[in-house]
Amino acid sequence: MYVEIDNLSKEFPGVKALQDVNLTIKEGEFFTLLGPSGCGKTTLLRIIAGFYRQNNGHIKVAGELIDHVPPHLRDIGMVFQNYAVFPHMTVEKNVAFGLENRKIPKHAINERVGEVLEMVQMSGYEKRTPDKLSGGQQQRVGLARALVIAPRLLLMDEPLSNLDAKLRLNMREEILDIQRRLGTTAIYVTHDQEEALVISDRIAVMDLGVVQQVGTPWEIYRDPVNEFVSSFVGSMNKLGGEEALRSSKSVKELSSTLPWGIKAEECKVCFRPTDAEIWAGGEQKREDSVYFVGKVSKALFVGSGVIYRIQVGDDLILTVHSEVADPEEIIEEGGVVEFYVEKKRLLFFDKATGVRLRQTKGV
Amino acid sequence: MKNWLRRDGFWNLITLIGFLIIFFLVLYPLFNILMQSFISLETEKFGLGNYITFFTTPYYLKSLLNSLVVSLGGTLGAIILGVPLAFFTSRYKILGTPLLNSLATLALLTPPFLGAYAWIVMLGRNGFITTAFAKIGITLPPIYGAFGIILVYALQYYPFVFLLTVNGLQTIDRSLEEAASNMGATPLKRFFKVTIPLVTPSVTSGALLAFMLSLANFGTPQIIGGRYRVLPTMAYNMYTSEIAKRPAMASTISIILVLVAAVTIFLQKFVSKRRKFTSVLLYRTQPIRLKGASNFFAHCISYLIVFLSTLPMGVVVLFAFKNTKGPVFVEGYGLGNFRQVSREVPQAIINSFWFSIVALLFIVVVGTLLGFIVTRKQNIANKILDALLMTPYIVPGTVMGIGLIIAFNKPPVILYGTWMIIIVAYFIRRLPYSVRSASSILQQIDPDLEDAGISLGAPPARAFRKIAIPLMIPGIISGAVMSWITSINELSASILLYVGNTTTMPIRIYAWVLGGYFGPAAALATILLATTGVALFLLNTFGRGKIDIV
Repeated sequence: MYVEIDNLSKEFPGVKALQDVNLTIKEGEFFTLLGPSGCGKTTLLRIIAGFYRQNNGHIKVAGELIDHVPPHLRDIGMVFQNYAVFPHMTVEKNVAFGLENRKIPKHAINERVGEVLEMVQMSGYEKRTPDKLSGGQQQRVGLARALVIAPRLLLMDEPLSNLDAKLRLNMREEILDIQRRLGTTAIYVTHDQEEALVISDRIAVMDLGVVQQVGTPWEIYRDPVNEFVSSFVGSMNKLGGEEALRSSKSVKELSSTLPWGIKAEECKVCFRPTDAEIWAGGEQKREDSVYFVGKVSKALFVGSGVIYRIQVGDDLILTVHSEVADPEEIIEEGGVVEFYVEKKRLLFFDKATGVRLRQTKGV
Repeated sequence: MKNWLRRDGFWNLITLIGFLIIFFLVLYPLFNILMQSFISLETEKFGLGNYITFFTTPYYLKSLLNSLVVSLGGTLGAIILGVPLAFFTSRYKILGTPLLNSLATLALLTPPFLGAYAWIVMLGRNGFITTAFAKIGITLPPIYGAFGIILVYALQYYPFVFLLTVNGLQTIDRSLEEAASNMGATPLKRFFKVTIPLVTPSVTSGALLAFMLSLANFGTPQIIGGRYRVLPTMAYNMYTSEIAKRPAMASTISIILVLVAAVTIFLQKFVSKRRKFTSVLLYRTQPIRLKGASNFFAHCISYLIVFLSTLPMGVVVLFAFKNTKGPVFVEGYGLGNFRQVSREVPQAIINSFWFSIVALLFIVVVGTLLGFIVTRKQNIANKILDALLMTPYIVPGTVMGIGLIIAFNKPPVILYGTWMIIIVAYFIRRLPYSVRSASSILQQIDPDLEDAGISLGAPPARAFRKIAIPLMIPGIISGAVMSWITSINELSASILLYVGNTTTMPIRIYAWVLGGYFGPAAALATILLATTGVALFLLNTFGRGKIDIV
């Protein structure tokens, strides 16, 4: 494996920032650390960069143990959340800084600075100072500066979070394009689950200093290992097990027994709003699904469809994200509606530990 | 081990140097004073004898009381002058506000004993205002004693309160006051319920500075105090008097003085901890234009306050050009005083420049490096160092002088009598301010910038040189000018440390004033004032950074 993180722990006074983190990253992979603020993702990134020193564990990059290598000798590029473009240097000088540290001849520096600025679409801005650049342009300089040294690993710490929404969408594809073209192994930190799903080859979801799950975007979204991952990535309807039985109906009474011997009082039943479908009256009810009836308390039009908040029980409101082709299809607030979820889309979690309950072998 | 050196070696060395400086130049002298303060006057035995004597003898106890009275009085005066001026100039359009700011800063940076001396020239026994009033049969109350000291302190230190309060007022977001109005508060209620509470921490920190400097001031009470003795003058006289020399008692008084300062700081920290406000600043309040009588009134008050504080400077400059005969002023104006200065004390002028510039080099280099480590390299050692670096702040100049003498007039290191000890005094007295200033500049620079440099392959020292230093330069320059001005005007420590050929301008002025030679004193003071003024002007014109008085 190209990057190996082995049993890494970090403690700050009074806080366990990272606990026994084990990760392996392949060469050329776009790897994302995803989690809420304070989950330890930035700490982990800064340890890899060498700005913090871990209390325990080891990091290997390309087979070399880097635990004791000072940050300036690690050959790891970093892009910062607030750009960190040197305000007292021109764009050109910013990008050349890393090459000058490597004692590269002047003409070679100029050539490589030109190339990398072209790659990030900043040609023509060489002599500008950062105060004359927009946030997006500054971040391009930040990226160019990290890439020009041809780092063996590229770290990005929420590089897009200070940009406005539209620019963010463009930039994330650009970053992906550049990374693909150069084949640089990248570790990307974000708290934005959508960004993570779009951009990553694999994602590590973190919470409370612990890696909760590592997997492809599909696995993280569709096959979460615990309740935290399921609700942090995408939105999720959550019902207590007993509540679920009470409020759902099923043609063949299938819902009255939970699968795999799960006890209702010990589990939570979850499904994604996008996995629920409004039942259009007349048609035959499907045997592979569970049905819920409720009153629409809110219908929120979000462009691509409508998000319904549906009052199912006295204090149970479920969310259904439904695609709508015609304005007539939108169900008014107050209307009674029936919707269904395929049983295979239901996820079960242990009520106490949050751990995903699956079919145990041999049952 | 080798890796550890490569990684942090340079900064660990700086931490070590910081500790050595504090130990040898502050704690060791203070420890010497402390030890001496326990040696009883009569019996020469080790014990609390001197402290018991101090607290049971009215003569000594009175000086503690006097110190508190004039310091509190001066602080109160500074608040009374500073707060209204701040409100007028930041809430209303007052013509010439930049000029008022500059004059207030200049007034703050002139040595206070010059103010004391100027007030004597005006209102002293033979002052020109006193004699003028006497001619028409009015006897003015004497300026000597508590009243004079408080007057000088108030006019000297109000700019602290003024400038900090202006800063506080300007950082109150406009929407806070608008919200108060929106919720139905009358302007008066809004002022007392919102504005005043929000600006109180700024006023308090200005007042604290005024109090600390009043408490430590030596020159003013010595010149204008008459028989009114305060702790620093008492300590000085006990230490230097040829007739009643009592160095042990001087040490005891010094320790008490340091304790009073420490308690004050502690109380302020304790109080301000519970009253710290942070809020988002999006919109600054714009000053409004007053009309009619209130406009006239606001202008009058503002200009009167600043005029009173710059009046002493004007008097000094004017009297520098007055002809004198010995200690007596005579008719006519000329350059006689300046000729006398250049004839009699060229050495003092050269020394002042030479000492202050050498001290400045150390202050800037060491202050910047130490400011960097206490801000950026936070570990336990540096946190302790940060706290220790503030100790010179609570040690008045007189005490520092006494401490340096006791510590360095005996083997292994004998500095007393050399020019080096004066530079040491300048250096160590200014160091906490210099460290603070470097640290506050750094706090405005994103640490990610240095990390970015390091991740791009710059070793820590190179990242510091190529990234941190260039960004700090404007702030460093403005801090350096402030340090230089305070050093060249330093009196209270150097007066104890100088010998014949290491005399400086402030020492010479002080000696002339005491001897009654007001003419040459005024001329030399004018040279000092002009130097200060030129330095400030250059900084204002060419410096990019804001002048940071604290």
